[in-house]
Amino acid sequence: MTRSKTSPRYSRDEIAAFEALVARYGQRVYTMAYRMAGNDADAKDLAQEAFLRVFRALRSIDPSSHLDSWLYRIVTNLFIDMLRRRPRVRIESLDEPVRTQRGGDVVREIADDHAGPEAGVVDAQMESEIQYALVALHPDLRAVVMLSDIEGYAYEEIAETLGVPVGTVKSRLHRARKTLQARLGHLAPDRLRNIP
Amino acid sequence: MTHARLQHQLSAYLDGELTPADADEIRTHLVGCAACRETLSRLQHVKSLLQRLPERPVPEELWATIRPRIGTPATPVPAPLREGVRAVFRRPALALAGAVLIVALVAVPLIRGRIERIRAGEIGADFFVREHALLSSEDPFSDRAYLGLLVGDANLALAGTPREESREER
Repeated sequence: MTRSKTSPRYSRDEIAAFEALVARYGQRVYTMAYRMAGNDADAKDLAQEAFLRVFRALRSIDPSSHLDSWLYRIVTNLFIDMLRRRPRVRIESLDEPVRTQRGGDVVREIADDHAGPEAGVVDAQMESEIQYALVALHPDLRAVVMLSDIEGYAYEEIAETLGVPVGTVKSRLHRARKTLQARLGHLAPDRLRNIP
Repeated sequence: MTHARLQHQLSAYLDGELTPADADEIRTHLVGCAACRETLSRLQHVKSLLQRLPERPVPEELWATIRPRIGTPATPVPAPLREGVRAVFRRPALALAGAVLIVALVAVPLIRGRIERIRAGEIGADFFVREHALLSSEDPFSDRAYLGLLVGDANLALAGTPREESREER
């Protein structure tokens, strides 16, 4: 009786919960989207859309379920959808890792927050090179290697997410790593670098 | 497995995704094959590089861009009212009783009022016509209404005679 037709769909409590969700998972989701898309604009679009989808479905899911893996799966599927709609992902962007000194410096400024001595993460220059190599991969290979090596999914989960057989995941992952290894060989320790 | 085929299994071996039998075969092969050992090291290095990628700083405007797409918050219903509404939904029988009560409260005065008006109309018209006829009979031609009544063409719908009226209309 007090409801009007123009009343919005979410209560204040729900919106507060959404904000908390973005605060908690935003970085991880955005990072994943960035690694997939290779540029900030697409990464933001992917992250936004992923969160909106989660909000829409949040009322109907078990609150104790694993939101994080669900979110990453949504990002991956959105990325794949994006590629289907637009096969040529725009990899040229201002924040794309570049090998110039200037580009490297820009990335380093951003990444310094994370690169503590104990963090064990690659430095900014290496990050930009790895990102460059990732984006240069075929999107099918990129999605597999992302889900496996960055997100830590098992082959079975990757196969389910991407809708391909486990055997395909296995072969794509191997090809992806071989390609990356060829491009990133110069980042390898000396022991590995000189072997043909 | 051949050497080439084994090499293709190295990624899966690295990830622990091979069956125990296949993994054993790879392990045995690796002991005697330097090339495969190196390939495995390289693959492991690539995997390690990817695992050590840092998280990207989340754009500050991420929430700000999502927020307008959610819509404005719902106006909260006052707590007692909300409780009342919930209580009603919890007990459907109570809701039904309430609805019946509301209908009764509205309908009874309406019906009673209508009946009273009809009765008043009957009595009033009856009185009026009788009185008027009585008075007018003294001087029949001074009152056109009475004249009409006498002639019989006055379609005088007297309250209380609806059936005759409806028959006439047909």
